[in-house]
Amino acid sequence: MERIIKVSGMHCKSCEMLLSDVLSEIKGVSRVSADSKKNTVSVSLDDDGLLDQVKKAIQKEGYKVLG
Amino acid sequence: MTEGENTAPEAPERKRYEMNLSGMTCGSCEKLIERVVTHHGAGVVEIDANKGLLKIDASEGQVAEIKGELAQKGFKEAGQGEAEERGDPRRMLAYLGSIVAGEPHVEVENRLMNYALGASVVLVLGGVFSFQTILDAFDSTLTALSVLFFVIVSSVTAVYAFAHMSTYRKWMSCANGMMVGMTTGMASGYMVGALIGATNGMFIGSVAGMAVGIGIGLALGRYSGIMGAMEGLMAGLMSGTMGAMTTIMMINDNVIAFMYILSGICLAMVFALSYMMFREAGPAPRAGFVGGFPRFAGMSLALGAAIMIIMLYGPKSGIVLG
Repeated sequence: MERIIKVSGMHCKSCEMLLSDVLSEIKGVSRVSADSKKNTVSVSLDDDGLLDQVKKAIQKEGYKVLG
Repeated sequence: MTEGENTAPEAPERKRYEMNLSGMTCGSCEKLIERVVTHHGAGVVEIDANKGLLKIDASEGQVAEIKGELAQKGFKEAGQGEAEERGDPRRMLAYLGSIVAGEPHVEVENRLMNYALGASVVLVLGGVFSFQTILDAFDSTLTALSVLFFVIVSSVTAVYAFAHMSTYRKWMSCANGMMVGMTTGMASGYMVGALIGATNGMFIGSVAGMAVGIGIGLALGRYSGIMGAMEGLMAGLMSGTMGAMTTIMMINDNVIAFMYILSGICLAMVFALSYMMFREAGPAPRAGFVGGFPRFAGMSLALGAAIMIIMLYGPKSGIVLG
């Protein structure tokens, strides 16, 4: 299932690549796409229960999850 | 153990490698690069986005792989990519394009640019209300309009540079901070000295130019310590006097045209300084953004009004612009 997460703190291409790299490493997460202009990260999850893990990984990198 | 029994492959020898990377501008770049290095089994010794420096301990094979992946991600070792070379005007144009487009990594510049345009409108309105007085003082409409333009450029660019450096100060090296203080103090002191010198003479022009130049140079240079403050102070002192001297010597020789050239140089210099600060500091979020529009416009208006009042009502030495 596709989930779009609102994230603040992304300001450049490196932020997008960093989050894509980090989230792609989580098992069950595929097709990660981060957009610093729209402040969104979209992910395809095998299981909705992974959403919390994804959000925690985003926060761990210093970004704020808005929803 | 005999020689023949040792069949395990020997680990490749690790050495320390130092790379100057272009494109590494912020904390996210550092994290991303660090991930690439560690994914290849190498170790990061030092990584610094401000210097564009990466030091790693790795084998020759690992270094080649790391360089390849970094290049794919847009980080090139200095000298690899022509478009990323220092001094390439395309980089400055791309920076300007990002500001105009309002991209998030140049949020500060975009806001300051909007503030500068807004403050210019405020000053133009001030000029419209007092235009008859300015016209009476300078006789010709062209001269009056030109003077108004010079006052707006000198005050708005000075405040722009001041606000920009105040915001970026924590991310600047001492050397570049000193240069910003010195250059900004010199440009603003020279502009004000030249303007007031042309209408009020050497003494008032020098004093006013020095006051503005010293004030701004000192205020910005101090972020780089006592040496920076002194550099800014001296730059303001010299430029105020030089500005007044220049226009007085040129008073009967296309001084208005010269002032237009000076304004153009001043604008270009502020933009170049802005770009230099951005390159040094990187597009990190600026929590310490100094002031909003009312403060920017208020400072510009106060400086512009002070210059205009001195030009119109200050003591004169007998030389009249026109």
